[in-house]
Amino acid sequence: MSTWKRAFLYVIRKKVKTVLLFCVLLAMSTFILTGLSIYKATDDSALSLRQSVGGSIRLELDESNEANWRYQQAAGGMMVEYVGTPITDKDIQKIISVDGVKAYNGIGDGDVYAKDFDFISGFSFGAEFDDSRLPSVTNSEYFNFFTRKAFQLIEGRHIKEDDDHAVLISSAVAEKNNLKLGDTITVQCCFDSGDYPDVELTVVGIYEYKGDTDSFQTTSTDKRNRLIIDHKAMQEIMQRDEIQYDNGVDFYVDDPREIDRIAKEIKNLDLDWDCFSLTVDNSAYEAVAASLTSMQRLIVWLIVGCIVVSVSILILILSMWIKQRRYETGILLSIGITKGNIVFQYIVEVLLIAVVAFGLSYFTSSLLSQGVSDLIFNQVAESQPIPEIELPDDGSEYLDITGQYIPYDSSNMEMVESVQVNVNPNNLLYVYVLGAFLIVLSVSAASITVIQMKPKKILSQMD
Amino acid sequence: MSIMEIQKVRYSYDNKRNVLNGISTALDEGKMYAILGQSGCGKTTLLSLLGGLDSPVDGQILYDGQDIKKLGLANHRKNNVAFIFQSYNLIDYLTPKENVALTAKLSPQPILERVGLTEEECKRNVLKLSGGQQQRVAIARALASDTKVILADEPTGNLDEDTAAEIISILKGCAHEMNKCVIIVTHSNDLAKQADTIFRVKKGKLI
Repeated sequence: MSTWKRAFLYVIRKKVKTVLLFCVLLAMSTFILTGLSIYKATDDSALSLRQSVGGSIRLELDESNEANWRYQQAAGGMMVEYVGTPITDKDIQKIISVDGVKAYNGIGDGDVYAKDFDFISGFSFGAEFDDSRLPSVTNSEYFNFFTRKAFQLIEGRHIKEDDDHAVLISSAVAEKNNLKLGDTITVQCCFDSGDYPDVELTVVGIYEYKGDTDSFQTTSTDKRNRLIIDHKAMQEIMQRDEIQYDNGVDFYVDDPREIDRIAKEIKNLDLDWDCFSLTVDNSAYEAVAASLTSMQRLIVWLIVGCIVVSVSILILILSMWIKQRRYETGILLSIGITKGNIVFQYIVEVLLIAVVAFGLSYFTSSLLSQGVSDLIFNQVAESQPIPEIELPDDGSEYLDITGQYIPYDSSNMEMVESVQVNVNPNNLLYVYVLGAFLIVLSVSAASITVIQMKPKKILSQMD
Repeated sequence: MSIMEIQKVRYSYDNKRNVLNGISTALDEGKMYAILGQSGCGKTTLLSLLGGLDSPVDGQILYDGQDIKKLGLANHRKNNVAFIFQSYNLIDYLTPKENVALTAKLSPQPILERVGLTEEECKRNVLKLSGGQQQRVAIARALASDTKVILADEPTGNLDEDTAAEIISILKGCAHEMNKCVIIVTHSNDLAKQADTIFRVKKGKLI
């Protein structure tokens, strides 16, 4: 009689033991499958979150290196001039070719008078025209005011790389000047030195400022007065031969988990690192994914705990049963069946029950997993502090070009409310593989005492 | 040529007192042997050594001229010898037919019928059979394994007189009609008298 047949006959004839073991295996596989399914679901959520939130690496002029800056006395006070290597398009192309970098946004800086429209008036020093700082961008969608949700585009479109003399204005400025999409405004550089022309800009988009507007502001520092323009417009306004990225370049990555590796690769590129500095930022992802990360950690512990408890229970039950089966073991040994073959029979018996129990766990886990996931997620979310984004050491990315902090609208932040759990056949396959391994381990451990005994000793204990 | 030989076999549980002290003998096919002795004298130990359930401290057990240790004890138990125990040693979740099929090199049903079990009895749970019937199943299992040697440890110890006589008759048939070497361990002189050769184990020696 084959081992498989012996095992099969044992399973169908020892009904009470079979049912009991079936229940243990069903509970074990249900918990493991539920844990794996929740883990996979949180992983999927984290992936889509990473892709939507992203992370960035900023390349900027190194302000800490005094050698890059020249200070000279001017009529209006001390003038500071950058004399180091500028960030060029060639540098940008080198970085964009690094695997995992998906986009970039270079930021230029200027200061203009409003020639045929009015800014929102703030504290004035009595100038003839109101002036305001204006950034030029490669792609305004990635501009930190928008990524931090301080600005929200409510009309029109974002500024793209191939734009020429396009501008985004605030809804407040649009309302005050009765401006709409397609209208033009004229600005002029307000620097004292040089002769700067009037430059006409076409309104392609209107944004709404979501931050505080009541606090004391000068015209220049009021965020509603930001005119966001393309680099070609900035070149003409500032009368520059080349595009200059005075405020650095932000590089965006596909997966924030890869950000350290990408930053390391960028650091190894042939760039003038005496003049440039690199700042890594995946804080937005870290903040919104905090609950998912905590949940995943908890799930891993639950799965490990479940495996340890299940294996312990299995070993305990099987040890007792195998001890009770010493009589049978002795008989089988006396008729020449090897110890290995006997243990194999015990393994096959449990596996036969497990095949059915694990299969059924697909359904029990489907019923349980969403509820368990919601319960754990709520527990984690309750114990999780409201996420806050930490500023980098120098805070540069979160400072307006006027040196003011860009407000962060956490109410607009994309948060994970719950995790959609689906039990899929792949996870069930994991349970089968893992379960089979645990069963082999448990039966082997439970059989040790009997297997170590000599056949004669087992048989002598029988009589 | 003898099917089994015992050569200067010594066995000790604690390496101090020898249970078997350098015994030697030869056992032939077609004969029934009885090993007599008091409780604890080492007769069951001798049977265990012949059956490869244990190994002697010194000496050799030969089967067909080969050391059973070299043949492999599990292999020896599977292919060369069959056991019949006092307590029948049947597996409780198998029917008589399935118990016999465990070792069967021959078809179980004719053998079960030969030892006196009906077809209906062969399908019952073994625990629902009488002691005599269970011992018949054990004998059938030994016969179905088609080995040349049958080792029986107190095979009638749990049976009434009539049934014991029937079992002895079957075992004698195994030796004389089927040309097997049947070795019975017993403390019953009456049973031993039925054997072709009687050995006594006394003070570690085979007399």
